[in-house]
Amino acid sequence: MKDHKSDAIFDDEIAIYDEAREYLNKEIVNKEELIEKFNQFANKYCRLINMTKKLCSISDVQSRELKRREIEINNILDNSDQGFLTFGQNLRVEKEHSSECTRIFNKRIVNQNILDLLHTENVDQNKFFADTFKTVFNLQDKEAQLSCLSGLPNLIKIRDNYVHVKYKIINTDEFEENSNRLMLVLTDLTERRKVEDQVLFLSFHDKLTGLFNRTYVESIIPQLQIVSNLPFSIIMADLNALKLVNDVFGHEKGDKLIVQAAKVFLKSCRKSDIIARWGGDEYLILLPGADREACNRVCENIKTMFAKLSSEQIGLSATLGGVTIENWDNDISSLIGMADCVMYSNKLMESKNNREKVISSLEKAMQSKCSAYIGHCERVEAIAQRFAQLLDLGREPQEMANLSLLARLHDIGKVAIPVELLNKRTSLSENEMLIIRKYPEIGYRMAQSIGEPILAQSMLAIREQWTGNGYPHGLKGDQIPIVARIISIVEAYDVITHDQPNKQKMSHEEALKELERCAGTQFDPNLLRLFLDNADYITNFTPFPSDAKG
Amino acid sequence: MERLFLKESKSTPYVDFDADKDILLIKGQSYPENAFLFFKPLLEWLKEYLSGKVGQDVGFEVTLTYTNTSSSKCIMMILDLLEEAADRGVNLNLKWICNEQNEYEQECAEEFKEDYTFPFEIVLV
Repeated sequence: MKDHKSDAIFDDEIAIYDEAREYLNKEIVNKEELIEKFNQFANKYCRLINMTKKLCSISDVQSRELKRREIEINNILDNSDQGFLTFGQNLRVEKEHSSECTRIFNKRIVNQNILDLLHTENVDQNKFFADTFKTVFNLQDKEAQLSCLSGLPNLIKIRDNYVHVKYKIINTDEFEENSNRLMLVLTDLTERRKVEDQVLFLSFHDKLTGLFNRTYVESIIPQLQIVSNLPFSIIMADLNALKLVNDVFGHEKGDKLIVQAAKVFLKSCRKSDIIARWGGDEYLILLPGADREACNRVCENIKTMFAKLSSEQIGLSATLGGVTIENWDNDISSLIGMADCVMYSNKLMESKNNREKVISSLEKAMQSKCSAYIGHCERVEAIAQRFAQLLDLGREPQEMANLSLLARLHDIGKVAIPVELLNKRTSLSENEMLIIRKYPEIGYRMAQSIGEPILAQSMLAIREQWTGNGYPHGLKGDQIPIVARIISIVEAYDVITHDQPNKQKMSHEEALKELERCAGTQFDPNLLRLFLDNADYITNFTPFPSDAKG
Repeated sequence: MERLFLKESKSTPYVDFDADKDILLIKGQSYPENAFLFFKPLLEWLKEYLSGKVGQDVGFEVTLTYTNTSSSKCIMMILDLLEEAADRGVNLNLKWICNEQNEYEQECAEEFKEDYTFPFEIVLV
């Protein structure tokens, strides 16, 4: 039989086998003795079978349990989001490792050299790993090994990922001498680092624009107040129409305006300048080493760029306030206050001009949305002025100014209505009507934003009807401001006498009949009577060059 | 007779065969590289001890959480010795301790117990 070190546990069974062999070698075999012996061997063989069966059963139960535990442990390791791997003196990664290792290294790592896996562009680090691992496996004392490992880097970069590494010495086989293994526990910190970087970024930056924020500026003020930064300039900038854009077009458009303005500042300033979003619509630009001339140059750059872009984006303009100091008699904080004052002073001076620019850009935007509006407001304004001359209103300059402004801007709320609805050639659905009917309210908010509360009230009432069946509030009779009542008649006349996306124009006479039909319901009956009685005079104005009366 | 006492190691169980108290204990895991080398002294000690215990009470307590196959064979050799001793009139009482949460331990204990006729009690703790 084959010699084996575990054979000793089968000494009894081997002895029986040897006895049987020896017996077979006997020359004379008595039949009864033979049967007796055969019977003994058969019994012992039966016992051997029983024992073997039992051993197999026990072994099966145990291996099943071991397998179960192995799966359980592997599950824990594979779901721990950590890489566990071991290697011995040959530096080859051993078979058992967690699946996170495969993810971190992006390949199968069994039998790979650990130095190849940890290889980076850092030549010194690569050499340090090689030397340390070699030394560790040559040392016998565990303390000395651990001390040696403690010098290795704990944060390394593997395939652009930041990985934290723990080094451990383990013994994988208690029967094998020199079975020391090095175990690496790898934790991918990339996501955590990203979050930390993001948190750090957000703590010093404005999330919307990516510019620095107020916290950042305040934190660096002490570092900026040095002689080498003199002369030092500051520009405070304030967007002129953010509120209007927010109110009329919604905050999403307002946010876009803020971002676009930030881009203008970034493009207009020098690389060394620090640009921050100071508040809602305020920006602060710090210009170290910039004298008054340099500061003015930057301001001019900003204004030029805003002027260029204002046609593309309604409300893209800002008022600037710049100050320059030649010494540190004043600190940066008081300098910011000074820039703020200059900016507000400029805003006051520019307000009329700014307001006009905003109105003009809204009008242009309106006309570009729907061709039917080209010339409409100008005609309404001209007819309304002639109409008003027949009323007491015509003698009140302020009222006339209000009337003109309403005539110009009565439709302006439609700038926020989807262009498809404004140009729709078929009749509008109920939902579409609801959207369109929002325009007086949008106009109201816009007028409020540019500081025109009386205009706002009239704009809100432009679709109200004499009998109270209009919208949005169902005002009736004298509750409707007179300028709104006038404009609603004049506007209706102009719409009827000009082609619309869903309606062909009518003649002057047909239009008057149509208006008369609505006397006392939609329109103020007295005003309408006056309009109809004087329609030829009122509507007989010189058409605009690009336009012809319908 | 001299007491046989072996400390538990990673791969061998704690053994305390105390002839004076007639209490024999095996406790732990058994997966030595050479099982027979470990169990041979135990078998020899038991053979001698049990030969003088006819008509006397002997308590044996076994707690084995894991045994490799060679160790299982050796344990069966011990159980065979106990069976023979019981047949000769030794009042043996074997308690095989199992963790009640661990079905696998109980299953193994049942396998070991099969075919023996001396008092062999599986105790769940």
